[in-house]
Amino acid sequence: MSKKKIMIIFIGIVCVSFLALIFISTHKKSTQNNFSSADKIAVIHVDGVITSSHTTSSILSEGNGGTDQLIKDLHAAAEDTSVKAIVMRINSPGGAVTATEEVGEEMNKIRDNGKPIVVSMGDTAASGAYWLSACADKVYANPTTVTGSIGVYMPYSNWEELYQKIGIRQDKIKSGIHKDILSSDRPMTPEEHQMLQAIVDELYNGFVDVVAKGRHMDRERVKQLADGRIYTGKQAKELGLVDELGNYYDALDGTAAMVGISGKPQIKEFGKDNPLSLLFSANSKENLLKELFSGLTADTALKSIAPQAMPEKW
Amino acid sequence: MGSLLETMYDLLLKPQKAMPEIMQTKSLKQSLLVVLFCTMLTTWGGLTTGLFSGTSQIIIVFFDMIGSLFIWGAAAAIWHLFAELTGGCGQIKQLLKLLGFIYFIDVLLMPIYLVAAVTSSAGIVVVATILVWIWKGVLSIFVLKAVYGMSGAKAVLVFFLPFLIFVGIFLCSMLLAGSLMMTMFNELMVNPPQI
Repeated sequence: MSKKKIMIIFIGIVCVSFLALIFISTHKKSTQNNFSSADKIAVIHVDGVITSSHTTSSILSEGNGGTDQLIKDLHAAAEDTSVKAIVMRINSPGGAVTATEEVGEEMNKIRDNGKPIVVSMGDTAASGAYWLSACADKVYANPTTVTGSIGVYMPYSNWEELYQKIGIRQDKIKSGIHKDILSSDRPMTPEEHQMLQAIVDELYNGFVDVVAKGRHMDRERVKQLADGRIYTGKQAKELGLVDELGNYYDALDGTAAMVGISGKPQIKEFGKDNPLSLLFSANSKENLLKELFSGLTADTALKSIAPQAMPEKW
Repeated sequence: MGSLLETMYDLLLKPQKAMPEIMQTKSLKQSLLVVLFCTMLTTWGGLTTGLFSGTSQIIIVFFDMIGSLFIWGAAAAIWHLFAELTGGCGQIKQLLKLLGFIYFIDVLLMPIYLVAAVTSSAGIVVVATILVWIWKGVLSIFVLKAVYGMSGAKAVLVFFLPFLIFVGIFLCSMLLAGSLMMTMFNELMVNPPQI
């Protein structure tokens, strides 16, 4: 047989192999899709400070930032008929009130539509992260998880003396006497303090209501626990703030049992980073944290071991 | 076309006969086409394992083609440098041409991928890939011999020199890092971290 014929046969084998591979892979995908309609548990990660932010996902950018994306992931999990339950893996010190409230509301809507949500707490699930946990059907915490910090605070700095020392004077032309409330170049008036305290109290009462409703606890009992202190997971279980002590995998197994999935549950993660985004984009969460914490004063910055309560930004 | 097929046959089975012919009659453009086509074919075949799906496959094939071009160029540059340093005399263009045509061997993996897909055996792919790499390595040594007119031993030396240098730099780095870590560990023993 001539060299040319041998090579033609060889190239023919290669081409047939290639076409056969494409056919097999297409066939595999369709059978996998059928298989993938099997019951699954969705896992959604909540990491870092909870804030309202809009991020557009693209192939070159990280797609998991801010509550906008978190809510989109919740909706996607809720609409996926193969997902029988959602596990939210929370590792967060808290965040902004409104952002947290928005996510909590969406969680309640999903639960009202019959899809259970279970929270698995990581290292920290305090303040706003606890707000979200209270909106879940069941809460798992590790014994050493730091949680609690049920409360609201609004940071305020008065840099007036520093400005005087370095010779800076600020003047404002304002439409109303309270327009520059929380301004750092003058002391807060007692009236302003009362106004802000009323806002903080209102937000606090809202937080207490969420916990009382979600944890099926008496409101007064919640208020006793909600003085802003942190609890370990073990303490939280004893106080009824969490349901079970266990890690992420215990939460998955418990959720599977809750919805009647036998054996090891099939997991579908939402909001997973595109691998290319890790290669090409900066970590937007690090930048976000830097921006947020730049507003902290020296004394609040010292509370580095305690989870943050919910800062109010104006 | 007939001549190209015969040349590729000779390259696979009688490389020493095929290489002078490729150097004289084939162009760099043809070599580039071989690199791109064979990379695309084999990468796409490999992706049928189902690890990636949808748009990602196209992106992976694209980046693999870019990577292959980079490796093709970088390998030629490095080997040309070492060949010249060891007294060899040849043209980098000829080296690029021959190294590009060697990429044709990768298409041998296509039937292997098919067998692996049917039998669900990844082991056969691993073994076949290693064999193909070894074959390409041997052919690369023949390429160096042909382009630079050097002896077999020298060609083997030039082939392995970049790897040996890389391993040497890596070992030195590890030694340096190890001595640095020893100092750090001493400090940690005195002041262990507190929980």
